[in-house]
Amino acid sequence: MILGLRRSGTGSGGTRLPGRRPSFVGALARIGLLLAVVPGGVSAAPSGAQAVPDRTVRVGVLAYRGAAQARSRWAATVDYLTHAVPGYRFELKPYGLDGLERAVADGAVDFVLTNPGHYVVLEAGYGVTRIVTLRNRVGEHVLTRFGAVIFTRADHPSIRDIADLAGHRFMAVSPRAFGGFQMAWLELERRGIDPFEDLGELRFAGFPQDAIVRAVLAGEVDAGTVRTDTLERMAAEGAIRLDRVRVLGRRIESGFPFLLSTALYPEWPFSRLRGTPERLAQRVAVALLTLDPDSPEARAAGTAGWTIPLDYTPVHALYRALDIGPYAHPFTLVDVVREYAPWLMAWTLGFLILAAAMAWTLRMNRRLAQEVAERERAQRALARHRDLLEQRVSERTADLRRLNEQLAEDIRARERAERALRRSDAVLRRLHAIVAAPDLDSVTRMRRMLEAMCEYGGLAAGVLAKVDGEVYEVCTWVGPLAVEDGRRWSVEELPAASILRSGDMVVAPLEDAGPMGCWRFHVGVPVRVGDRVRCVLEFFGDEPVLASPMDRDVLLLVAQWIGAELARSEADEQLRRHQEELAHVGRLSAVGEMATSLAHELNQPLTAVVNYVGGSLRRLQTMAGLDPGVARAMERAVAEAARAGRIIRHLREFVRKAPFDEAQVDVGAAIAAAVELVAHEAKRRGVALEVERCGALPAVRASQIQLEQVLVNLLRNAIEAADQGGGDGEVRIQAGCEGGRVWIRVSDTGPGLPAPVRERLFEPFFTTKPQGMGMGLNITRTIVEALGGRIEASEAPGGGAVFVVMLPVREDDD
Amino acid sequence: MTESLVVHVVDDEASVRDSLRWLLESVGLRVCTHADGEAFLAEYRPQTCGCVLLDIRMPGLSGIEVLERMAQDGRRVPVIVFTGHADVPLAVRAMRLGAFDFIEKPYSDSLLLERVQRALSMRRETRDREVALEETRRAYERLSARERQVLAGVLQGRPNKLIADDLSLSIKTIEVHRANLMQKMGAHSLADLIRRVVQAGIEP
Repeated sequence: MILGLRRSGTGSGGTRLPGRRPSFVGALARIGLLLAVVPGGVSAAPSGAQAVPDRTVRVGVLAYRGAAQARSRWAATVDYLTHAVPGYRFELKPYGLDGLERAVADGAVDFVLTNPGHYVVLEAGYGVTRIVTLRNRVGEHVLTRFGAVIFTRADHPSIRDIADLAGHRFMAVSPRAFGGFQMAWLELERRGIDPFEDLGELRFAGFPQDAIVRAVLAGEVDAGTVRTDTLERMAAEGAIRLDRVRVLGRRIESGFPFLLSTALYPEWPFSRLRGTPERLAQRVAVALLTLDPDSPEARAAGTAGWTIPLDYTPVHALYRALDIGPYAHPFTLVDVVREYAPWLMAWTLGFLILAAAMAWTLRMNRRLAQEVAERERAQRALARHRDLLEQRVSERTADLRRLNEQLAEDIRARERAERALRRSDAVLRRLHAIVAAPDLDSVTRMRRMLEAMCEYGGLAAGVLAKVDGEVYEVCTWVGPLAVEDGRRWSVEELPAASILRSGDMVVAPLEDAGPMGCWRFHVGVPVRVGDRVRCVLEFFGDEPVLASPMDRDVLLLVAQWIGAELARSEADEQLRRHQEELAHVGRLSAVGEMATSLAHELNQPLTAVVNYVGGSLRRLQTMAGLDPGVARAMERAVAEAARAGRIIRHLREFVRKAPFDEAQVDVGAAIAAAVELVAHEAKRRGVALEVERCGALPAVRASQIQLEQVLVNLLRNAIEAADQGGGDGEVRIQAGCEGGRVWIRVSDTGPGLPAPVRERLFEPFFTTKPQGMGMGLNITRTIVEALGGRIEASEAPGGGAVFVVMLPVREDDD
Repeated sequence: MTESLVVHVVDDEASVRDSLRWLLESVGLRVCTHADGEAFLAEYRPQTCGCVLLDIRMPGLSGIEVLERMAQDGRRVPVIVFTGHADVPLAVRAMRLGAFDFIEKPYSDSLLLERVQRALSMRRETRDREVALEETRRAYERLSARERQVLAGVLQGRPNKLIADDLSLSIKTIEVHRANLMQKMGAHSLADLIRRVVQAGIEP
């Protein structure tokens, strides 16, 4: 098998020869092939007659629940490898624990997929090396670590903690099950219980683990241990109730969603043997890393793909502590490195304070922007309604003059008309005041209009309702109506049906008592947004009122105003949602980026600590008379530094942003959207924005919102810089495509970038702005790099700064 | 061939460089440190380079770019890439460029040393093979023109008699040439001779 693989060097060496003399080359190639067979004396898997036979690669899999289960879980993944790594045929080989170890010892497999505990044994014994780590899918969660839970039934009279287990009956999977026993073993040992000596009875039930849970709940044993998520899964299936279970020694780990009693350990690794060719191992690693988490292959295995290999030191530590597996000598390590803890706490606290400050600043910004927009809108509305009012008043005055001429002798009639005019004038002024009030929200505004109209018309009640097809939904209302906000009816039951049928104002007596109450008179008018009837405005009373043409005009005017208000609030809502989304992305990126930066900053000194202490220990070990206590302390120091690294990593995973949906994004459209978002600020600062497109722009693969985030960051910086530059500032955005890359160039006429600034530009927390956080360009670079692109900053020839973003035009490669 | 191989460390942070030297030298390895990718590429010699420990994120030339340059040179020196966090796309790119392994910082010192030793033993193997091929090529250079003609005939699988006819020589002479060239090429058998020639890519 493996000989067959090594031969690939010889075989390809023969075929690589230049083809100047075909007959001779052919002979050589034949000899090469002949040789390939002779020295190893192994058959070369004769499959197709002409086709080059694929080399067989064997993947040994730990079949802890039988070969059939292992096949159904992993066959798709192994087939995927055959497909993804051309030239090789991958074969699945299920084994038990011992069988797999023998297969590794004999070199009968090329790759091994087994649990972390067994992996550590194979690593120590046979030089097996992990190449990737499994991402386990449990329900909606994707996890790269797992642990075990130790539990008893909730009403057990005497077991409250792990230490109480002594003398009781305990059930686990098997002595060699990593999650099904060994993890719990360590927890028992830590509390002074030797499971083989101190328990009343230790029973091993094998797989599936459900049997252990059932045995504990049925009282056949007092307590047991299973892998994390087993309890939650059985509860979800309805097999048990979680409130019947008492978890012992419960632990909380940030970001880990399941009941837990032990430390967390890395998931199953996929590993190679010592003799597996380097190139093949790399191709397999790449194939597994690029396996789509949502692909059928990953789903069949119950995984969410694979990730780069985790550190299996915690597993080693467990085996060392239990004096099993590859470790013959026990260690009882002393807590010397406690002083490490305050230092780490201080960092974590500092990070949390920064994150909170960031969130607070963003929220204040948004509120301010909303207030400014609101005020501007109100000013516009005020001007519009002043014009409208003036027009109306002059029309009314003309009416009055005509009435005066026509009905000069009929004083009573004139008085009535004057009264009506005064009333309508008064109501128009009042309505205008309502419309123009700057600090009213839209619902209050509409309710006040209804009140004004009721008062004006001497009506008892008014209602504004949304109409969508057959559904009539109350938006707001005044007066004694039998309704509530959000109440829905079928429109056919209501007087509003006649308004919709006619599409016009309806003034009519009511004969039946409708569901809104017993009224004798109804007046209603449709409210249009654009051409569509979106709402109806209705009033109810006991007297026939609002009958004069002037009243009707007023009513129609109110309907128009309400229509305009609705249209405006819809547009506002859309803009607000977009801005909110952008701000959300900004916040997420900022927090994630800060965590990443801090992690990087901390990882460097931690790495140095590990190196220094590890190097010192190794030097000391070569000398005579080394105090074993010192050696233990130094080992412990290394382990603690590694633990600090893991805590930082957890923290970062916890705050890490959700992945963004990538799609083919039109760069031109993203530029237009970003320009629109900053246009207002540019105008306010008197900076001109110029967009220039150089030729066709192909789409790039990105998330639209992230690309906008990049452009908005660069444009805002450029506008601020251009404003500082004095004179007429200008920001120029150019975009084009060259050599498979889309480039976007943002240049400004600002003070430019002196060399010391330019060098530190992309560092986190570096800023030249008095109020800046120094995260904008850092986030921008992270996004651009995540999209496979590059960002560069330079000085423009005529002064000012230039930022160029380059993004690859990606066809979806392998 | 037994001269000791050098472990190259490329990291922009002095404390990491210095501490790695301290750790690697504690197990008797030869170490050479570089503050950036440019300096490393300028200074390293593939003949003595055992393996490279490369930080992925550095100012100037990034770790990926260093890998790209090394891949262009076609040198198969094992490179262990360090990263601050589990960045899968970056890992895939590094693997495609032939990185030997990918380790997250901070790591455990024994894990790192084990990976370094593994990389060195692999490098030793490939280097031994390279040396053997070089010897075969030099041996071939020492053959006379006649011996090369005989070798070509042998490689085509022609019996001595036909080679003798082709070259208008006696079978006896061919046998003498054949014995000489076997000795000069250091081959124990016909199969051994063919293997050496084919592996060294020699075309008589």
